[in-house]
Amino acid sequence: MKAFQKAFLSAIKQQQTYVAVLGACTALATTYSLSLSIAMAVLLFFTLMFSMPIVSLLRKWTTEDNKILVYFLVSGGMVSLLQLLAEWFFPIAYEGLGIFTWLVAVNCLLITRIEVVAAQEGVIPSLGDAMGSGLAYGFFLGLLGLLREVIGTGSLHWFSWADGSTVFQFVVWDEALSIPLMIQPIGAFLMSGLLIAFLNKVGGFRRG
Amino acid sequence: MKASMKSSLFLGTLILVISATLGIVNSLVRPLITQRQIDQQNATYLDVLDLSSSTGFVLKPVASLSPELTDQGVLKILTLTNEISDELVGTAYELTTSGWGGTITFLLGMRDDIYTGLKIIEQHETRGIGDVLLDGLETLIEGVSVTDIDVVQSVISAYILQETLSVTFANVTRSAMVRVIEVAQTDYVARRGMNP
Repeated sequence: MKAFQKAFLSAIKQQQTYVAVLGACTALATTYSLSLSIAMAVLLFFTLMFSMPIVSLLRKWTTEDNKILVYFLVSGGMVSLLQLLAEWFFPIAYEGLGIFTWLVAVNCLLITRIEVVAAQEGVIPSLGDAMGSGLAYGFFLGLLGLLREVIGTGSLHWFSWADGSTVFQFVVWDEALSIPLMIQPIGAFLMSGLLIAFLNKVGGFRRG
Repeated sequence: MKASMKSSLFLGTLILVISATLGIVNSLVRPLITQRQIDQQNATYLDVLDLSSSTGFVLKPVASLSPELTDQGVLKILTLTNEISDELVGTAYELTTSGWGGTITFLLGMRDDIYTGLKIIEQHETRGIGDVLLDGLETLIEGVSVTDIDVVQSVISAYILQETLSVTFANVTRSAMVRVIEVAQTDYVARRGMNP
């Protein structure tokens, strides 16, 4: 349990998404809506949670020559599996995330954590790291999605991933005062840059 | 055993295990996903046929469309028949045409002797002109008699005049829509054995 806790806290402290800016492509692409941001975070969380212990279990047979193949086979297989389940249980979220669900298989955060932690450590620390990294990533995506949607549309709309129905919606300010640029791709770069700078300043995170 | 042989054996086994797992899950989940997609599509067709459920009816696609119909923009036809008498009650069409801004794809429903609905699936019309016309059409066509295409013509024309949309964009889109609606109407009248 201590190993799990240590790995979990270490992953949270390392804040790979804000400090090393890992996994940014999916973070930028899907965060125009809070609901979709969290859907992407959940998908990556479970991919980490399933892939890392498997890679850890296979580390005795993994060599320098075949490790890249093993990582991608495991992460790709896991993403395909989760995609099927997402398409069945949450078709609206699956459709909304589009091609970015495939890209999770080559997500930099996932591959880095597999290489740095899962390929070196046991199953328990790998699970701890997966949970910490997944939650930290989810926090960043959720915050980015929240800010982009509110600033970009003036309101917050959470829709059901299963049938697209509105779960809650509230207007934060008049739509006329919103900045639609924020829900465009360029807004993703602007907002994530500002957010990373803010989090690094407030949280005191530094590279290296 | 050579290291390369061991590595190949390991990778082969891993590929087999992952493929088998994916295959099993896919064979369990895929039919359910496909069925749900069919149900969702049928719900859309029932909506343009102004029905809340298919209870008492059978909704089925026409297996093969004649080249004349497909050439004129008919993509799909679903017939609605009475479950007991097998009598044709209505028909839903998936139609496509070229408007001012490009392809327009829409669903058109006819039941008994009236148009029951029109739903735009895809359009690229000019904002504020063509798209306004299409939005208006969705509600205007409901209840119009299917036996007279001129009624549809005049409904659309009246709407264009009312909305002061009598400009080239709207007219091109209007003509294209009426042309393909006329194809569907002719087919429906023939299927129902009605006198136009």
